[in-house]
Amino acid sequence: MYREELHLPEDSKWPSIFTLLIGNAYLIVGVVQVLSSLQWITPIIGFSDLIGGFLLIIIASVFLTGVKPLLENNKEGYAFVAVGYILAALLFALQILVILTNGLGWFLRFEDWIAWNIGNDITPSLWMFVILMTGTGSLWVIGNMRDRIMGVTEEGSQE
Amino acid sequence: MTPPEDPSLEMEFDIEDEIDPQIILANERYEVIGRILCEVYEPGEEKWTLSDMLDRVLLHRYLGLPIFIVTMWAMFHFTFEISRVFMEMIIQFFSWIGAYTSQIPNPILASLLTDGILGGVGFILTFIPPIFFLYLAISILEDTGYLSRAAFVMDRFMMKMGLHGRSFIPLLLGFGCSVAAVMATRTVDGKSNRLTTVLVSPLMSCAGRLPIYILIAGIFFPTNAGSVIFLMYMLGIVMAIIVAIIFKKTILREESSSMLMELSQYQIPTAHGSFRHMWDRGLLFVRTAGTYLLAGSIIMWVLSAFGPAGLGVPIDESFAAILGRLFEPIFMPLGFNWQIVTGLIFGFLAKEAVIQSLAIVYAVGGVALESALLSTMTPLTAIAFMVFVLLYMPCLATVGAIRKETGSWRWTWFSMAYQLVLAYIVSLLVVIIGGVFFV
Amino acid sequence: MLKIRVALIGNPNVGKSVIFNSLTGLNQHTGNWPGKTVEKKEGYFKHHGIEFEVIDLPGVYSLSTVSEDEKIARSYIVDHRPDVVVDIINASQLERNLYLTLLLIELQVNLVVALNMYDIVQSRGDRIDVEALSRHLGARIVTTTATRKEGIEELKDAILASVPKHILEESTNEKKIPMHTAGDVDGGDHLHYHPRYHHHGEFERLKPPTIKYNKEIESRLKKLVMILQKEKELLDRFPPRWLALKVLERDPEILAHFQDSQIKEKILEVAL
Repeated sequence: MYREELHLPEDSKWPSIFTLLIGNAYLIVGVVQVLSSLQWITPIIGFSDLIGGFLLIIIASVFLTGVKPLLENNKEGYAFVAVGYILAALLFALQILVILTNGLGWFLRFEDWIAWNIGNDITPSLWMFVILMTGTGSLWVIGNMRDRIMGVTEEGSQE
Repeated sequence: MTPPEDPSLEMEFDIEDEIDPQIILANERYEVIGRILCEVYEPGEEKWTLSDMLDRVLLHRYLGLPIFIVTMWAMFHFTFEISRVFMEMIIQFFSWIGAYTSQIPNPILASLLTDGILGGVGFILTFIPPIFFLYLAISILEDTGYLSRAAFVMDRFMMKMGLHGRSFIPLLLGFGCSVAAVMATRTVDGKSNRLTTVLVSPLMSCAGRLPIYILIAGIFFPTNAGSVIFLMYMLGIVMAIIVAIIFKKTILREESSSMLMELSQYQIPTAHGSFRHMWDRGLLFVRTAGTYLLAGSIIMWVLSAFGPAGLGVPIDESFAAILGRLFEPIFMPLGFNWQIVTGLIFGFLAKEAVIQSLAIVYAVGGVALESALLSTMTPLTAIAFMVFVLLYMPCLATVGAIRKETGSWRWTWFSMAYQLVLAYIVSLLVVIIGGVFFV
Repeated sequence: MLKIRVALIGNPNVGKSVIFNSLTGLNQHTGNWPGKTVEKKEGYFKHHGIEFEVIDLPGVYSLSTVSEDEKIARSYIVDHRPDVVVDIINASQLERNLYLTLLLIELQVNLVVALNMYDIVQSRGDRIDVEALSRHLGARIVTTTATRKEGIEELKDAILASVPKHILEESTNEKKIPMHTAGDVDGGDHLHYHPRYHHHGEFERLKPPTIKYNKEIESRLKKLVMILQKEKELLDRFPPRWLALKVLERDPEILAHFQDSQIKEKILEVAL
């Protein structure tokens, strides 16, 4: 899979806009998390991990670095997008595991977990990824629908 | 390599003569290979693959390091956070067994089993979840092929320390357990590089020291505990860098080693493969560390339960206390009393054992450990203590691993000695400088 | 029944251990090379009724005397003369990998070449004329993709086919073969000699070199082989052509064997 040639979309306009949006989203959320954990703004629940905030900012920079090549229709841009996805997925999966094991500790009524509140563990790394995938999914569906519509138009004009 | 036997021929045998024919022949071989390939090999068109794209990003001048940091953080978070529940399960399990063994009629046997073996080994076994998770994470990273890219990214950085990128994996493992780190130095090529890595990896604060930091920092710096612990880890890294540089400049000159760094192919790791690696390494660690720790726990129990007067003496008349008092004068300048020294002695068996021995040693008057420590140490002493724990001799299991990997007793003794000296000096500096600024 | 000894060698990271595992399965164990801290893997397999003992040599780029790994690999081939040497090559990096192959040909071993990671070659659209390569190297070549278990059976066939007939006979029939004396020049470039540690005990017939170098080098080699004709002890241990090459290269380990200053002067005169 890693050594086969890739079939990438010809036109990079939509991908670059989407990447720009998602990159900025991660950036803003990351900064908010940093500020919230340092208590420079009123702390928000789930936004308490300082390092987590920095990680989101790093993911944001990976995405944003890919915007420029994509705007120039340079296929290399997709590399950054790919790595962005991978990192976001990594943090997401990790957070899910954390919630599961903490939940287990709470369920077994271990000492350190009595005071556990799931709210604390719903971090941005979790739901940002959900947003990311939802956004990607919708784009893909819209893209397919558009192709189908275009296809029908082609057929229609050929008749 | 023996020099030429006949001294009269040494003249004709200078450096130029040695290198030239080798190069001439090597060139000729490549010529032949080139001719063969011309006839036999036809490269395909340059295709843009996912593999190439990934490398562009992962080895990026500016993004490479941050991405690496994300990966490393994920690995450690995974290791320590996820394993917490499982560690708790093991602790519960052992205390449940302990409830039974302490009721064995024979007091010596009961004590040996409950306090000695279960207390010692059981405590160590609670660290199995993080160790295995750490190995799992590393195996996955290795199997995907990312680890060689990470080594590449770190290589730029590590060259300045006189180390190679390949040394970073063992050093990283040192955060989990020094035994694992030393065993991992097999992958480092170049004898002096490997030796340097072996000598330096115990300075990376291992998991065994963490309970000590948590305890001490929690007592003396309750509001800043996390930061203080983080500082200890940083200090470990800084000392490792400094010591590595010193070694490289003095006793372990760098030798010419292969300048090729292989980038392995990207692959999706198989569950089977990664778990297999994790299991192999984890088991090896358990066996190596476990045997030493079992022996160590029994020794510790004997030393603390027995004294010149026989079994069941109050702790300050036990052999352990006698040892501690013996060395106390040396540690006066650091502010360590004999109880602490005793704790440190046991720390040689296993770093994790320090807390236990402190608890036992202070249990004389039924005093809780926290208040006992608060009354006998100042915050400055506490820091000096943590620094000493960070740097002094590697634990028994690590010493065993060092002996096995270096194959020489000389270097093993050296590692113990230099670390002891280093720990003492740095702790002393801490006390002196701290005394000037804060007291 | 004697086991046929097969040594696996190749550059690091070419998939040598995967192939080793595919050949031996669970019939393997790991130890250390005597006196060293380098890992040693041994195993065995059976093919068409014949038993093969496999030894996994350390991954090396060449066979000089610089690193531990290279020293171990080289001394194993020279002192223990495995019956077959399998050189495992990363087919997508032929140029670099073939260097070691050339060195093995210099050692006049019975060579089998495994072009591993062949799937990469195919997916890149590269093309390798395996037959022509086999002709040039004078060795059987098998294409493998060890991670997909492709080519392993063919590799076993090639190994079996590369075992010299008389050794095969000896290992199956336990029939004694008449001894040859050292220095028995059989016309052409190869000599019989008695390898001291050859586990079959009798003699080894060396493969004639399939790769020759330029005129300058070959003429010097010829001169050296002539000078060394009488050195029975050395010829007992080392293949003559390889010995000459090492002398020409001023290999310190080999040069240390020359005690006699007269001979030493003579061979050092022959220089590039």
